[in-house]
Amino acid sequence: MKTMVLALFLLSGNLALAADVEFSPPVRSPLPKVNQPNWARTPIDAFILFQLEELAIQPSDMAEKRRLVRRLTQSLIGLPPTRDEEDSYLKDPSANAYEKVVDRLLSSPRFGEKWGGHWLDLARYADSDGYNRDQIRPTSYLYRDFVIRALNENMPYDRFLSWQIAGDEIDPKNPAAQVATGFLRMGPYEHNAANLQQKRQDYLDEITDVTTSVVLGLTIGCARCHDHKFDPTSQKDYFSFQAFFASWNPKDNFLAVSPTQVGAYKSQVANWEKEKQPLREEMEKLTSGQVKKLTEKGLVRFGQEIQESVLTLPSQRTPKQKQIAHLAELQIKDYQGMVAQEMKGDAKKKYDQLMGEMNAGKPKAPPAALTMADLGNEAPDTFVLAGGDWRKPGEKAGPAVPKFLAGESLSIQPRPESTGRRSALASWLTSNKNPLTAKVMVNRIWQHHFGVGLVASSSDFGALGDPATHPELLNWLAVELIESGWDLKHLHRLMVTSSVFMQDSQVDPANAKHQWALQEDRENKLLWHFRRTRSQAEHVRDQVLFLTGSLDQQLYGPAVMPPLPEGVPAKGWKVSDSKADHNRRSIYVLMKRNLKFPLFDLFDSPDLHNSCSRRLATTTAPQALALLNGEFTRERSAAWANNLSGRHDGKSKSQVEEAMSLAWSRQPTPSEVATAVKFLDEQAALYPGNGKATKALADFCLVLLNSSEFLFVD
Amino acid sequence: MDENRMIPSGRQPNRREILSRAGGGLAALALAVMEGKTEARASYSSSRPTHFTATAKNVIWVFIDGGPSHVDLFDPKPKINTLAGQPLPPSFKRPVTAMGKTAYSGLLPSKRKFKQHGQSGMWISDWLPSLAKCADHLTMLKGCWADGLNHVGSVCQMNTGSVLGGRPCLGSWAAYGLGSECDNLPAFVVLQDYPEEPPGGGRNWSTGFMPSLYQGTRFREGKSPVLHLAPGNPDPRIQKHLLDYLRQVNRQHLEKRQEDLDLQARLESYELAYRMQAAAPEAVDLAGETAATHALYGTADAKTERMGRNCLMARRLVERGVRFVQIYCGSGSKWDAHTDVEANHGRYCAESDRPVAALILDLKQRGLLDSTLVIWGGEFGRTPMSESGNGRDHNPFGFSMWMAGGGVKPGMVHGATDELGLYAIEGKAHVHDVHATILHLLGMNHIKLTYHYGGRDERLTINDGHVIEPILA
Repeated sequence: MKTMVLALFLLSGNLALAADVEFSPPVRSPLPKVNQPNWARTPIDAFILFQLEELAIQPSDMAEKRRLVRRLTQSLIGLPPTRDEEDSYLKDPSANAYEKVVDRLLSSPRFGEKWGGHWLDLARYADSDGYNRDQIRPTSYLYRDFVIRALNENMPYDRFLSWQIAGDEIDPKNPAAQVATGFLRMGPYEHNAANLQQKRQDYLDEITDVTTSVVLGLTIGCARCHDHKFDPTSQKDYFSFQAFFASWNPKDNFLAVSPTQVGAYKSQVANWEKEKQPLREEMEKLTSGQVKKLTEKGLVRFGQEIQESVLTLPSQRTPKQKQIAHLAELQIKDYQGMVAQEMKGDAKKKYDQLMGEMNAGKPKAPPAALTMADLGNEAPDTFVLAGGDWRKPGEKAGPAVPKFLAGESLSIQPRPESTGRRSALASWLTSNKNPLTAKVMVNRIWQHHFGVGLVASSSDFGALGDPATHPELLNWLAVELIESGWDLKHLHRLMVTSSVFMQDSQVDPANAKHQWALQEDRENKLLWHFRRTRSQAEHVRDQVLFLTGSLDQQLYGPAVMPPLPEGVPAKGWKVSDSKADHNRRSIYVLMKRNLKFPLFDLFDSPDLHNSCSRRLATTTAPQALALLNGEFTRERSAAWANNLSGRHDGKSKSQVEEAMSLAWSRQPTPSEVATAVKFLDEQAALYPGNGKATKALADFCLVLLNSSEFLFVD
Repeated sequence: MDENRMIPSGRQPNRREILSRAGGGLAALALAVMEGKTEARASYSSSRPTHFTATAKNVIWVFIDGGPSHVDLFDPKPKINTLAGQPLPPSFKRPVTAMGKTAYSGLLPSKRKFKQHGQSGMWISDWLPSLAKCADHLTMLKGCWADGLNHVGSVCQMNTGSVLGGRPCLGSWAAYGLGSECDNLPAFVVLQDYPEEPPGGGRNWSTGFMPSLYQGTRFREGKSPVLHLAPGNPDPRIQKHLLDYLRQVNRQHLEKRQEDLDLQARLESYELAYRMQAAAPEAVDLAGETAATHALYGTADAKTERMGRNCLMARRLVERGVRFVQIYCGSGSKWDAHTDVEANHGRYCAESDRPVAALILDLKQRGLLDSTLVIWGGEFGRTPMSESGNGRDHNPFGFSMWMAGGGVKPGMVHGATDELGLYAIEGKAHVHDVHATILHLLGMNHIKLTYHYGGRDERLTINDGHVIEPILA
């Protein structure tokens, strides 16, 4: 560490000054004057071109049209275009043919599925608790669907964000706003933690870390234990920020339907309860002894302070006791739930009979979302914890935003049912003057269109993150986002209609212009060509389904479980009954923390515990084995081959032509077609018995699914 | 660096500034060089230089899943027997235990007979008669301690350094730091003796925030130890012809994209995959081993078969250049003896004693023990106090682990617990210290082996860890 500090001081000059400048509200720079105004069709182009011209680097030519429409489609909806979509673009003579495609894609529901996925990575979204039991969260999907829907409807980013931080305070009557607070609930949960004081602190830390990194692009987690070594975040800043969440009151029972539906359900329940009252009393008599024992058993596991919190009358608990008691009671309830297993003999028979009668006619509950609320208008004190240790409280802290970011002081308005802290935070985060929120979001969108962000470390805008390659552009776009009314689709449109986005990706070392560019900017940080990237895990699967004609288009709803590969232990993975569900888009596949869907796992999907801002794109042998030998790709190839051979009367040439042009979005060359036909003949000859031709064709389709050209966005 | 971060005030950047943006800045470059930062690589099929001379090339960790009772295996405490049934003496701080009440229950005497073994006179109980014969190969750590109270957090910490998930495990750090020595098998392999996974499952051999390249590959039972190892058609000519054509297609695509290392790596990955199809089944096929070897490991005995096969397989993998092998022994928390420690440990000791001793002897006779570090240990030990009358609760406050080979001092005992075996009091070795020591034996400085993530240069030992110098040979 010492050498690092030294190096920074030697090389960086005045670090504090640099930080002050970075952490100021976005400002628009004037568009730079460039020498090739025809190339610079959009403001983005002007900023990019200016830097290239200064280094005498020539931007690349425009990509071939088919390649371009493929790239655009993949980038906006995560799928390749259909043949018809390609053709209609190629045949459209109008000047705005490309823009028409952009508009069509932006209004496709597939758009929210693709970009929602990127947000869920950040939100450490999962459909299970994690830890040993890794219990399924059957209603996580409500939050996932909120995200997809909001992006499809182009909800302004300031609202999208505010709701996730404080939807319960901002729009309490609106189910969507409540569900949005699920953002604060997506972290792992340990169902049998014994040390709940520690656990309570862990949960608060987790929310603090995720919020600051996702929204502000700051790694202030370092400041939990010590003042940040390189950014101006102090420990006081950390815990002051945490204080916004101090009234932490997670809820698992928010009925995510309209108030009318909630009302109807509640009255059904009231009737049902009334009707079953005698039964209930009988049941209580039967089980009270066991329940008492189990309650005791659940309670004594805990240390004294926790037991006290539970045993204190709810109205007399301190705010902190309420939180501790909540966590303890969740576990005690687990113990009480074991009553059925504890009953024996006649009592058990009676119990089962009563239970049967009780459940008869029980109204079906609407799905209950995981949401966040406050304890009321009170919150436990937040302290600066020495070394981040809950047992070592120091001075009191916050709620306040880090000094180096705050341009204005926050006004917090307590409400009858909440502290108003989170909504104050939300309004600061989405204020036009916030120095980071807009820049961070603009940069994330940029990253997913261009492969790397203008700040490559997209969740670290601090001194140890990567410096911006185009700070003027980043600022310009941030202002544009704010002034457009936080219109995200506007931002997408700006990016994908730029000449920068439309550039070819190929680099030719024999080309003198490329040689020069390679010498000046080998890593393409200045964007003189389009950056080729491997499709991410979910898009690999989605594109295979799409290409082979099996993608199910159903939107939203509970998570689905396609079959696992042979040899993977199921661990609570119950394969979906409906075959159509096996072919749903990957965003709907169950994200189980201790059992990541194997194909996704192989292709670098996030670990589902931490916020993930940038996925890796590794290349490994197990990936090759999965695509080559796995049941999924083999079955899909066989289905595709069947379909092809049905429609081409067994004519090899037209079969391979269609398959290749679909997989690669281009016309194969005559020599490619000839080689493919030769492969088919030779491969068929290797198979014994019937159906040689279709088997060979399936192998050919499998090769296409394994081809680099298919797997990359280019 | 400062000028890179500068936000313009109506001025355009100059050429020098732009060049530095393109280059990532001199500062960034200097830092990367000074810190020895390494990029995510497309392939691990080459070994990389160590920080200093390594004494171990490979590691085999026999992970005793569930928490073995040190006071019944390696750390005899006659005082528990004298005070049988009585609560902890008042001089002892009452710990927070997983099952709450255990802190107040009486001491459970050990029914085991302990003897000193070998020239070193190491104490080993009669549950481990075969291992006792290897006493002079062992380096016993009796003062281990950890932070977690429950299985999932503690197993996680023993693997990744933290009780919270999301960090890379030791095996991944080793693969990341050292690369692989073989070109047809993964660098890091995980074996289990039961179908149940250890608490937390695959997270224990995952790479957390590192590239998935370094993750452990769980070898499964049967002929196909890796997922999707079997080709779609058993006729090798069919796959060969298909792969030849695929190579041709991908090469042609690469032709105009020569500068793209990812595309090149993809071609290589298919070659490795092809080799792995043959190499992995060969590595796990024990048929070629001699009858004497099978007898040594006890693979024909129903009791020792599971561990016997895994220990033998571990030796074969290490021979073939696999860097890090982890064997979960009693996988799925089988050693978790909350009730009836006698029956529980009796069974799992009987299943693993002979195979583990065989592993040491076999490595020794093949000249591999010097370069292979064998580790034995679980996520914590067990309490001297009783639970349910005849069981023991989790004890992360003081417990035993041992190592053998790979540059540790044979026949040595380091550290001690108090007179009841509850708290480590001498030669205390936290999980981070154990990790630092293992990396050291592999030739790596645990402070220098870093991976940049989330704004920090992360390391296995987090902000802690000291090499246990006295045990280095």
